[in-house]
Amino acid sequence: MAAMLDEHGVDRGVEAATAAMSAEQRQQAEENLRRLIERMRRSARQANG
Amino acid sequence: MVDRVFDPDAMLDTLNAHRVDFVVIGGIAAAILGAGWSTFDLDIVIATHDDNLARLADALNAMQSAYETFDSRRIEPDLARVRSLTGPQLLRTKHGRLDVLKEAGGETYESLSPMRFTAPVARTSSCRRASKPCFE
Repeated sequence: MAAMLDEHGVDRGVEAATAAMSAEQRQQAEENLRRLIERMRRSARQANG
Repeated sequence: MVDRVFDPDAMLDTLNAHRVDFVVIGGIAAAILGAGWSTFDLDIVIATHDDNLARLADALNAMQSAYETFDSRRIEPDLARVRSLTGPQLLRTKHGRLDVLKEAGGETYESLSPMRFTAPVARTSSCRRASKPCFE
C-alpha cells in the first residue's frame, strides 16, 4: 500500500486525486479544509493561552 | 468516485465516533500551526494497542475505505491488515484521502501525545481523542 509513495516519500495518489477534481469539487475541498484549519487555529490559540 | 471529495471534519468525526486514539500530523497539522500550504489528505498516527486497531478498522469500514492501489483491485482495511501492515496505509474513503501511520519519523502516538492540544470537532458536541495539533 505504500507503493503510491515515491522515492522521496511523496504521496502521488493525493496529487492524482487533486488533479482529478473538478473546479467545483476543488473549491468545496478547499472550503472544508479552510473551515477546519480556522477552527483548529482558534482552539490552538486558546490552548496556548 | 470517492477520490474527488475532501471533508476532513467528516473523517475526524467518524474517528471520534469510533473512539479511535490518533494524532493528526502532516499538512493539516502544519497548516494549523501556521504553514501556508497543505494537501487534500488527512494524515494520522494511531495508537497501536489492539483495542484501538479494532476501533480503527470499524471506523475505516464506516468510511467505506479501501487501500490506494495502482490497479482497480479493491482491498479493504480489515482488522488483520490494519494489525499486520507496518508502513503507511494510504486509503481512499468516502470523505477523501486518509493516510494512517503507526509511526512517523520515529514518532509514535505515545511520543506525540504530550504535545497535543484539545479542540472540538465539527459535528459532535465534544471529542474524546487527541491529536497534534490535536483533536480530542
